[in-house]
Amino acid sequence: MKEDTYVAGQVERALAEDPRTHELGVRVEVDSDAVILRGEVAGEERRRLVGEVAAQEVPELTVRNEVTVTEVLPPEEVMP
Amino acid sequence: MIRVAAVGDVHLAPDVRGRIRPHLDGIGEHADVLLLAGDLTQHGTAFEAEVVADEFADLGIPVVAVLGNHDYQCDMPDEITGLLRASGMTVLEGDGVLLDLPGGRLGVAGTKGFGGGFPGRAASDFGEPEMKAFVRHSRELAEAMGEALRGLEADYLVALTHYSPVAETLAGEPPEIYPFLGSYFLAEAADSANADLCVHGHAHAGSECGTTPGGAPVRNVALPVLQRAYAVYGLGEPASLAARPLVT
Repeated sequence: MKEDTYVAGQVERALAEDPRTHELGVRVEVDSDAVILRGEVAGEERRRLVGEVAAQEVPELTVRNEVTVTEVLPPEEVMP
Repeated sequence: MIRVAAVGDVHLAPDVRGRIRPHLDGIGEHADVLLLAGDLTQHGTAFEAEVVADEFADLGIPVVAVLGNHDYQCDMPDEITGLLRASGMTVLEGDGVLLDLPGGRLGVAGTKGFGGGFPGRAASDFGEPEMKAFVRHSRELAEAMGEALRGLEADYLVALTHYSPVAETLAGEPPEIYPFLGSYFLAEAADSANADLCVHGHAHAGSECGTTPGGAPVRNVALPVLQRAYAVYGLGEPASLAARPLVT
């Protein structure tokens, strides 16, 4: 069985290199039989795909997708 | 005073089309120019570049951009640049543009930039060919921007990059990856021209404000850092507002 560090590296690489995701800012942590994903992406579909790619990469583990979607707030008060 | 609006790392694609646009209406009331600090697309396709062109079209103020590493993923930076230029955007890579704005002449020079790190923890042009190529690429891009900045006869100069010129605006990112997030070559280039402001993106978990060793304000405008559609920075009078965020 692979050490957790290698599994985390494998999933991080998949998220960066898979053409469905190309996400470089998702942090991956492996905790016994679970992979935990954290970070921000630009949209809800990308959040879903990050979970999907991770799950396909390590089907033997449970994926906990804690990635959130970056908010885009309007510019606030502008000084004259 | 010149009001510089800026945002980077919008990572546009059809799935997030229209994400920024509603917040750009009326931008001309708040800013004289909009700078885009790279990673305009998610996967670097021409199709996504068309989404970018639509998102930032017809704003009524000049839009000046550099590409980011995501915009290179499909090896078609020239096509992306061409599409954005055709939409009216200025796209810089080792060159500059002079804008005659109501508050004065604004010179902007830009480059994607590259990594290599910061003094004390920087890569050198030494050893294996791959390492030499990495460092030379970073240095050449920065030097081209420096030369472009020095050639601009402007009242105010801005260095626009994707990668960071300083470590300070990377605070929040793991220190181990700083060499992949920026290079001091970019700050050195900006300081060689006494640039008034450096604007960059790339570091989503970084911090907004920093300063070059030469004293130029540095602003990390990556969208996940700003959490808003754009920030506005003032250049020039009133002096107390110079290069301070007007939108906070």
